Amino acid sequence: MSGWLNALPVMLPLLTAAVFARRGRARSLAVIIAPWLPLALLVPLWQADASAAPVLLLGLRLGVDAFSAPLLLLSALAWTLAGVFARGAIRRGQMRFWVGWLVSLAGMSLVLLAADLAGFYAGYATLSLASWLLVIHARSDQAWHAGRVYLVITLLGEMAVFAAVVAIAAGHGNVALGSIDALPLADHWRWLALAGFAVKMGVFPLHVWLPLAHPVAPVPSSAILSGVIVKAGLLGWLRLVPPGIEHGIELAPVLFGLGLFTAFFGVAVGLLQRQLKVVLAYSTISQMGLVLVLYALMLAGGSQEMAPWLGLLVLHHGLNKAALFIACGCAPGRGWLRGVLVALPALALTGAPLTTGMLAKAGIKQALATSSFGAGWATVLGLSSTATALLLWHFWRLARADRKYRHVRPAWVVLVLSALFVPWAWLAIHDLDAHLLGGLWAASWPLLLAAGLIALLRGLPRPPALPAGDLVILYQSLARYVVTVLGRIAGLQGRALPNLHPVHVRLNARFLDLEQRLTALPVAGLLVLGIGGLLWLFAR
Amino acid sequence: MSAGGSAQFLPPALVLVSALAAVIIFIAGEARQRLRITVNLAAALLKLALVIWIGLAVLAGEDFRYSFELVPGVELILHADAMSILFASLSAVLWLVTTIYAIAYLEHTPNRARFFGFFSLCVSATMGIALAGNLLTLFVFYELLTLTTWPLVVHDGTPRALAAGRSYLRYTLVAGVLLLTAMIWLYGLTGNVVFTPGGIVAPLVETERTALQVIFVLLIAGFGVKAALVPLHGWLPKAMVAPAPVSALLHAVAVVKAGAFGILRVIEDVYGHAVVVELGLQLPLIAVASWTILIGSLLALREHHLKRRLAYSTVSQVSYIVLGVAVGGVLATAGGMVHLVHQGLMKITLFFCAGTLGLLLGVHRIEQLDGLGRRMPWLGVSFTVAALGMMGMPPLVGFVSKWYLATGALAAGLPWLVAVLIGSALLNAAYFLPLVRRLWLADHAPLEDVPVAINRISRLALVATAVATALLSVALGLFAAHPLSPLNWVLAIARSYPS
Repeated sequence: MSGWLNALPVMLPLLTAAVFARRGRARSLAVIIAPWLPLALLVPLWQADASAAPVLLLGLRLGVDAFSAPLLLLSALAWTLAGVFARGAIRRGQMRFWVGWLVSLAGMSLVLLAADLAGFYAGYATLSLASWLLVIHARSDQAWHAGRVYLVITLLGEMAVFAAVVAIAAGHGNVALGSIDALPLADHWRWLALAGFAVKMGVFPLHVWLPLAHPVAPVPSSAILSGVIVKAGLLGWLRLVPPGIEHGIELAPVLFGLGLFTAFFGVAVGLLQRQLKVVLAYSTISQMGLVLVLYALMLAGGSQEMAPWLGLLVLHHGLNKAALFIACGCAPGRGWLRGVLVALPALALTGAPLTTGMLAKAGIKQALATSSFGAGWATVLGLSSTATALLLWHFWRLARADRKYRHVRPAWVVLVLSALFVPWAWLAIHDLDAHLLGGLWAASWPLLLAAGLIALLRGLPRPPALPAGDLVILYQSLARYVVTVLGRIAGLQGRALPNLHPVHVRLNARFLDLEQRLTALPVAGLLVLGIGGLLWLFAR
Repeated sequence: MSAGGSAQFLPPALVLVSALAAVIIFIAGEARQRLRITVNLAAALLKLALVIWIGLAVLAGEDFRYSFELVPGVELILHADAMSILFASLSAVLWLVTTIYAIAYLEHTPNRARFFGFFSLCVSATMGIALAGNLLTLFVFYELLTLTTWPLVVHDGTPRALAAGRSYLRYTLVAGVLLLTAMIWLYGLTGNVVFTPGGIVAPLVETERTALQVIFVLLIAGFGVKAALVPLHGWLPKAMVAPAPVSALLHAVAVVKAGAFGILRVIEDVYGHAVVVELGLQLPLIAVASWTILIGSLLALREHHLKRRLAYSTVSQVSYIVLGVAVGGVLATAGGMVHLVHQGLMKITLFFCAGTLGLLLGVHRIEQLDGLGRRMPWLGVSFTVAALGMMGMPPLVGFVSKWYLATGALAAGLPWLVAVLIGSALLNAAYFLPLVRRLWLADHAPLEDVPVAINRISRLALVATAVATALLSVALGLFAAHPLSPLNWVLAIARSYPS
């Protein structure tokens, strides 16, 4: 088959997004086909040919490999089903919703399919910016605030990624992603890449945007943000700091620790939340901690053999989490059927016996067993399942209280079913050995412990609520403090100018003076002479 | 590798085409609108054709040189090399678009003959700058550009416009004096300053070190005024009172670019990058460029007047060119040079959009942009594309420049410059994204159409030109790796310099 088919998942969403510029029939047609476009991602997965377009960008190449294959599958399934749900659910602001949705999809597709450095970065940047439209969809004060936090932290992360990308490109040009593990690169660039992508993943302490963005974004947007888009960060790690690099073993312990901490931190803060989607957001943060743990183990092991297990973990979490988010838009508290549809993915996430979560945990434990970290950590992993179970119990109680009438949408049912079966199929296709019987007890005791804890703590009064986004308040006051101090040091009073953000007022006063002084011609002339003299002294 | 005699008329022809057009326009006078439009467009098209012809010939390895002795020993040289073609083709393409835009923008106002006459003269001077083969020729056309731009800056005749014009003249004429001093000094030292890749002053480094350093500073200051290096940028934001086509000319087609191009010539073809490093002038120049990049963006951030914000953005972006060339090496040099083209495309789009919004809807301040994307979608999309390009979003042209500048800085062992570039990208996001947000996501504020006598075709032209340049800034980024892209053109130039 010809290689241009690989470009379909990128091109089709962009073309469809362009159609939204026209009102009338063209747009209603676009709304009909838009949800199905992610299925185009199955084409490259199917044909698995690499292709190159040497005149595009800086020499674009597309292809599929062991890292991107599970994510392609996940995106095709979850994004399509969320889109089908969205077609019924989004009534207002269709244009901004679908443009954001489709451009994000194009960006994600490029992230998944790019086989060269520049192409990958192009996709990542597009995805990051376009997702902002998904966050601010409601245009309420809360949404703008969440959008601002998202944008600031995402742009900072993207710039860290950019620095790492150009650091690789400076020595080797626009290299193939598959060859990065063999290239020498100073560790600080690697840390920049890790930190940059950690923003997308929601790893502590860069997670603050997730709990702010999810409650304000429309339900389908939350589903793909949490289920799919966060995984672009994981792929970023795997691409720029792939297992098999020289110093992997030195980077791994910090990441391992950070991953475990994030796993428990997410649960601890999530338990103090009162909003359904915020609780799920913290659950995502916690689960991404576990993904980070497996990634760190792969780095330490220095080989890419565990890739199928990582794929399993990603598929398991993505599908189940998307199903839970969709549940939030379907009155999960009404009737036993909806109860089952909520309980199945929730149980899977806790890693209950014979669920896909148990398979995912088995993968992490296998990686742990072959690593140098020591088997004692397996108990800690078990405890993380207990923690997850507590958080999802909290979720369950909140969910069952939500009975506002809405239809049960078929997309939800299909999503729950695919979450139930697709990871098993993945296991079978890749011929992975999950040690099912031996793992039963390991999967059971954390839940029993959780059940015991729930029974024990039942009578206690409700803990105080913590604002969503926890550390974000700290970051904001820190930023404000720095700006104020700088203003004081410069000895400038904040001359209040109308319609300005407080940060701008200071900047304004500072530069108004500076600029007025600089643009006075004599000063400019003197400065030039002064600089000239300095240069002369300097050069002597 | 000299071409046959027949084609040697090309370099002077390129300069004379628009000068001739100017003469016809002046003579034809105010009333003969049809003739004026025809001459304008014909000259622009003819010039574009000539540039393409000469460009293909240069690509094929031909050499064009035309010299004219003023007095014995002092000659004007017009010479087409790859770098000339870079600047000439940029100017020719953008001049064509700007001419169309200007006709649509201004044909209902008084004093058109004066405007279009000087407009053509400007471009004539710009072609001279692009094709200058020695420092004297460059200087002559550079000063000519100053004088022919002034009537355009003060075109409206309002007190503010006149003040802006005075400021412009003060800055540029002082710069001219600096240049003249430096040039005479340099001619005294070397005899003749013919542009040669790798420079001509290397033999003097031992004996005339201090003199060369001072001359370099004078030259950079002289060209730096037009290139708007901070603190020499004061005239540029004031000059935005001029009509939008003039802003396009100042910021994208000719003036600012002429300054940057002059610096390019000085570093690469008069001194040679190695000599600049040897004289200890590289780091100070990098420092000035970095400072300009950051300060320009910070100043843009505080502006709430649309065109002033764009003007400060130019201050910042043009220094990318200086930065790249100062850093040196194939990657950074290419990144800087290609930004000559890339910045031009993006900035001209932004000014076209700002000008059209001002003309048709009376929009001058940022707060007035609310919801206009829906009202004028094509314009909104063009503006958005160019603004995102300025931030360095892939796959737009700004990304390609940023990529090469950053990799070049790292390859040259200057990793802190990546921080400067990143800081600039973030600041660009801080002052462009709110505009994009207002265009598309804010609720529509009711705005009355400004009653202007503009027919439908003119309205169409105003929007179509912006769309065309926006499309170009997508296409040149998306097809950056194409063999005929500006990127590959400048990569070839950068590789030709002795490393």
